[in-house]
Amino acid sequence: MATTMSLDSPEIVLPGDYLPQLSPLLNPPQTDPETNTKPRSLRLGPGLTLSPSTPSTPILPYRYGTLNLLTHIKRPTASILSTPRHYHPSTNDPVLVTLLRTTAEQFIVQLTPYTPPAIIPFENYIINNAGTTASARKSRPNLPIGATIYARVSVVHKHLEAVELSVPDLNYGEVISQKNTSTTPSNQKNSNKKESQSTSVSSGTTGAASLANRAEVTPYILSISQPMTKLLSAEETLGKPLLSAVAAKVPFEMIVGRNGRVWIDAATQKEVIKVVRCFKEFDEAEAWNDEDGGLVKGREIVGKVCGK
Amino acid sequence: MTSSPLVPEISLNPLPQSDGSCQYTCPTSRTTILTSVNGPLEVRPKDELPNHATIEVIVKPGIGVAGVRETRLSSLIHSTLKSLILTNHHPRTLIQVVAQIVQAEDHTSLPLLLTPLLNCTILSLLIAGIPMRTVGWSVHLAVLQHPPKTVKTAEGQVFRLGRGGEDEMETEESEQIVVRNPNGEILGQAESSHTVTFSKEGEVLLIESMECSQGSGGQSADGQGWDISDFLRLAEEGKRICCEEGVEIIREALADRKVF
Repeated sequence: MATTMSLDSPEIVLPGDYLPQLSPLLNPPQTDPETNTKPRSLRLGPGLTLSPSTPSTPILPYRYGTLNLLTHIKRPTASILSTPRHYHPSTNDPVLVTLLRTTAEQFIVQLTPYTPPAIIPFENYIINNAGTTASARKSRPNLPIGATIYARVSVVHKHLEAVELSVPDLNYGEVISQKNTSTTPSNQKNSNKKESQSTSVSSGTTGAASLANRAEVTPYILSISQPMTKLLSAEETLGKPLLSAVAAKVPFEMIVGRNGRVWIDAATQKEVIKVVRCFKEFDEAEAWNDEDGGLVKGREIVGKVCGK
Repeated sequence: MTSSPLVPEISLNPLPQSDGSCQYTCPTSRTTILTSVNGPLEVRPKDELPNHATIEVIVKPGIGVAGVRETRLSSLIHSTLKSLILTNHHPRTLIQVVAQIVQAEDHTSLPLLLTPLLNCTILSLLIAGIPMRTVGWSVHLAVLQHPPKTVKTAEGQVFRLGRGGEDEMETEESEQIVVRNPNGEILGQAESSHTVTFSKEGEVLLIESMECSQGSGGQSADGQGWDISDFLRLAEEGKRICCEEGVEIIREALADRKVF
């Protein structure tokens, strides 16, 4: 039968494949009754769905990819890892969005160019540490149209009109470069976030001295593919070869949005462009698909763009 | 990948801007198809379905402008995809499939185009990450009265329809020859042509059969130019090809790609 073939090649799971790996999690062994007091429920992540009509298994993989199984004792989770080109929002994803317009109750933002706009309701927009929301007119940040907001996906439901985002704490919010020394509260918040996001890549250079000459630097928002996004957000593992190669040449800061956008800032405009070109060329060469995870290709590109 | 003469050439994601694309070249007839899948997208209000995604299939001809033939092909692909795609996962959206015929021996022949179109579309859907219930594979089988003349065939492409343990083993009917993915010339000598599509689990997704001019049409009991018991055996063989070889081709094609 076709279902037995998935055992031979455990790498790729096709839609409709029977997943024998999940059976022990669905039916916990009855041998030790004291651990069975609390039934462990298996959580299904993206790529898996319940389908009562499938004869072989109630759990149906609906995308191709590899099975990602977390056999945590309290919360076993299974999902299908795959990188489609399209960004599918899922809850708690950090995203970089562009403000399209403001209505009476919400910010209307662009999550991806190919989907209907997403919304950030004012009651989801936390503007200070006390948890004050932007609901009150006076406290609402006066964001210009086109502003970049770092937000988190809070509600995704297929039957809802729009994806709902939130700005849950001060690590999120409007993204502006540190060159803007205006007194807006978002500036302060912004620096917090950058520390948390990009300590590993900024190599401790962006000191006060470099900030002085930053008046003419404009940060760059780069659109990248989904595999590249995954690579850059995993800065300690997948993205390490590329990020450390770039950071060794040019200190920079970045904020990665899962929706395929990266915000890049550096000390000078030239350096911003250098980093952007490194990322862009790496992405266009699809170097993440290489055997070595793009190590050689990444070095080559960095050497070409930034000089030896 | 094994360079068997029956394994199609598949290039995944040749189009950088689409969500999923695939170029597929049939190993024997050299029919080349390029498909792109985009979705879920915003749907036109008049096509919007409250609980399901709308599937749109556009077939673009290799030469000339699209006409009835392309509409027919796209409706066949549409009905096949409808049973594969889990449309309730993305209600009120559009899943757009565009198939371009790049190269074909005979741009007017429906059966020669249908199998590459279907296989290519299914691969593109997988790449695009469209939610699917299962995967399918299609194979085109031509039934000939005699072994194909003056045409070179690949190894394993031609087989005989076995009729196990029957008395009339030596009658001329048992001489029936089946050619997998025939090219135009073989199809011209064929008695009947059958495009069968099966899902990985062996469900029938699409059967398109037609009687060819050269065959002894109308002689069989059902009046369709072929015997129903022959057809069932043929379908069984098609099922084996789709469920075993076809699914293996999909797996091998996708195994080269890295997932994160």
